[in-house]
Amino acid sequence: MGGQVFLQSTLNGLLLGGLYALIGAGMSLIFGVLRVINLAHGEMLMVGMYITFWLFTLFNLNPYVSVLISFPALCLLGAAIQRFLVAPILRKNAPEENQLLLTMGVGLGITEVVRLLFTANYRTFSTPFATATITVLGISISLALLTAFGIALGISLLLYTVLLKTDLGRSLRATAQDKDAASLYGIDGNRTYTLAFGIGSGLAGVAGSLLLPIFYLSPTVGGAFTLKAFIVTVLGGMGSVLGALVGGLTLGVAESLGAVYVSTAYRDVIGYLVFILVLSLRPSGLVGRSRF
Amino acid sequence: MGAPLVHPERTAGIPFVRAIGLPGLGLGLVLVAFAVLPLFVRSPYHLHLVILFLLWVGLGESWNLLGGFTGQISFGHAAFFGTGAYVTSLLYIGPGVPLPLAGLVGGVFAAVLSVPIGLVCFRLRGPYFALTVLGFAEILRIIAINWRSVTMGPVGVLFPPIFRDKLPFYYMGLALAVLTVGVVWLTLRSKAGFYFRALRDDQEAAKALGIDSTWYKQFSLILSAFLTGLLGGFFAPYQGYIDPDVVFSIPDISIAMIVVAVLGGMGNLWGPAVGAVIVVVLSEILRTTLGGAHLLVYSGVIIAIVVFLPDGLVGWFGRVLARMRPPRPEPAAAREHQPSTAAPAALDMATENSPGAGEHRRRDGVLLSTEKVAKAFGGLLALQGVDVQLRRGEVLGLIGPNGAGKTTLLSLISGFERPTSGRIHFDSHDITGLPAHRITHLGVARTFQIVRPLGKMTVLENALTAALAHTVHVSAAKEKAEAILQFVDLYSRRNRMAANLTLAERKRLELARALATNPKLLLLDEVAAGLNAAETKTMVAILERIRERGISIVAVEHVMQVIMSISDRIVVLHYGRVLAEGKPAEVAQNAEVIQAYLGVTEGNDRA
Repeated sequence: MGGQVFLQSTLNGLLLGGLYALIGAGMSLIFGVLRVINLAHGEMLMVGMYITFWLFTLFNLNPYVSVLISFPALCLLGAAIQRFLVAPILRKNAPEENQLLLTMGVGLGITEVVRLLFTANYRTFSTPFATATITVLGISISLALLTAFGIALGISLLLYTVLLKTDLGRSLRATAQDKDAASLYGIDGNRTYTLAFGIGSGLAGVAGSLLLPIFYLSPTVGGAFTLKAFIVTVLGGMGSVLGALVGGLTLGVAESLGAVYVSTAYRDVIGYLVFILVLSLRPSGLVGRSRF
Repeated sequence: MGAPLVHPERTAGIPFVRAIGLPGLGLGLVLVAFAVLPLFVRSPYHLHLVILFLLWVGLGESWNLLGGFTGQISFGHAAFFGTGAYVTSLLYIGPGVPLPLAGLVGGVFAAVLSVPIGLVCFRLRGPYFALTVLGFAEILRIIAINWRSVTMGPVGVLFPPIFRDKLPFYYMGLALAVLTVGVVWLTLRSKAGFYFRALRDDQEAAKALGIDSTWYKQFSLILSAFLTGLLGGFFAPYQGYIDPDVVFSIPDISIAMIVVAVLGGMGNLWGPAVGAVIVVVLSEILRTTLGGAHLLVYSGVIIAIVVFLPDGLVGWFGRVLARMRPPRPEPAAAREHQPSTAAPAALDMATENSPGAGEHRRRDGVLLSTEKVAKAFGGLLALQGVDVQLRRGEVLGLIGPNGAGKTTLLSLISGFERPTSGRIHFDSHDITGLPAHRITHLGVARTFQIVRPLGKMTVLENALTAALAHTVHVSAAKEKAEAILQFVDLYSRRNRMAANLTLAERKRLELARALATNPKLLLLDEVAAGLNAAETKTMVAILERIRERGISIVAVEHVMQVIMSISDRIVVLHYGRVLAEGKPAEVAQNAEVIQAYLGVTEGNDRA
């Protein structure tokens, strides 16, 4: 019985961790290239959830298909934020804290706009699919979570491959290492910055679509996910997409086991404690330096 | 940012005003106005708004101390506010502790709580600090929600009404606001205040000035947390009700504190007062008209300020004023442009108090020795077993091609890097691996190759901060700083912001700061690099005079003219090893040296 519970909660943690990994990968990509921590990341995810919610409610569009819309939509939003708000302060060489204040302000603004548009009401997404489970060896698995995990993992690996193998990836990595040097090799640094911010935000949008069937929705869910994304990013090592995968899975399992063996109420505290522990003991993250 | 704390002399005609100064008079009038304000503001609603203003002045200023003056941006000050509010409420309601005492204990609790938070967070910089504090605030919120037996859980704590009207609260709020601003004001004029601002402007430079960065950041956090906790303890009885989502709120407390401070101007004493007026009035208007869109306004304010007015409204106003006023000549510039040889006493001031002043002039004994010092950066061996000795009063030139390990050696001696192996002895102390600030206190001062001025402090404040290494008296440090600025010919620039100096002046400021820490040993990293012929001459003259005072010097330098003229002895480093050593003339003749170093750069005596 005890073993069963352990397996069940570990599995749940891993599955949720896959989603965390995707959320963290976006933040990590942005940080890796621009050295900016995007504190509006969770709010981007929240916007992705709303897009998916309304596409389903109005046009009955499957949440997993709506990824095709939430990704480009958030890419555009992210690129615009980078171009018009982040880029000017990066040019001024402002202290790091200003970037934090700026993106925090942006996140707050997004939340409030969504609140004014769609009210602060909590909404849930209800389809039979959202609650369906399959049972393997006595362990029940949420289909929605499993699907989300599969897609999240697939996208993370795709992102990693793109970074390693394509010209786009090479220009992102080159700019991450040294923007000025990269520009000497014909890479348009500012364009790459916008691209990175766009793609990173787009990934948050995708995560929002995947998350909708298994979570509730309100304008204020973003903040919690910004923190989770940051924790995942730090756990994996800032700027590493592969690290985000490790960080995401670690956070997912830690939360899930903590909820079962400590207390559901303190689920988020467990996450913070793991984060503080890792920061104190291994500030470079669990993975350490990786290629990306 | 803002007015320099060490003011140029101000004189006003009226004796009374001259005694307390114009700002003092203005401040006194404001205080009197606040004291009698309730005679005129009769409506409880308006009094309520003024009380909120006072609360937010205090909160903004508490945050400002840590964020604006110490450069440690916290996104989680609700942790301290909430702790103060809860501890005060629970003590008052439970065991019936009297309110002032309960509030004090609340502040102390917040301060105590800030210690472990600082221990974890100050190992991290910038964004990590900001967000980790936020994480702590969230943990406390979750605890307050779930620890029902003590905190009464999510329903919160009801505070029984203690006063029939708002008047007592008004005076409590006024007292707390005055206390907070006063504490910050006093702190800024003390040694700690200068150290806070130095840490904000450049942590590495601060360490070189003997500042224990961890302790001073922690001190700033404790003070800030205490004041925030006190204000939390005031908020609870005034509001009459607290719950976890109110007092530990990220947007309504943590972010609002940042907004108040940033809007007025981070690192500006009066910034939070301006920020608080705007935030309180604006929130109130929005609450009554739009119904809670104040967060949208916060967001707009933060974005606009960060993008357009990084120094806030007060800073912007100051710049506008400065532009309107005709430019004033530098105070008494002509008088001070006298040749700096006229200030030989300056360096006496610098050396006479130093622990080993008497020994300086005795040219015997070893002051510094390195034994088989090695340093590896990953796979790169920057230094591979270097033995260097320096006698008291000696000037050692350290030369070698780029990448030879010269700067690394200086960093090891000054404690900015730990050697991978080997020992370093200085003045009968084993200083291997000691933190940089302690090595500074033992009498080693360094300059940086890439100059690190404390940019938002004046030239005088830069030197003064360094002079605080051996005294807590700001006035004594100021006198010494002035003398040293005369010595390096920067006295006429003393009220300039350090960020606005020319390169040559910045190099001399580096030197002035190093001298102000009372060094027995001065480590100079390319103080002449990038200077033109005239500036180089001035620099050499200053170095000669430092050397006359018996201060030992290790100088890394590429400018041959400088190194050959000031050095008693020269050590040549090459690929992390000592290639040659001897008198300048000998080294210049050494075939190996010529091949390795001079040969490649012959006729090219710049960096």
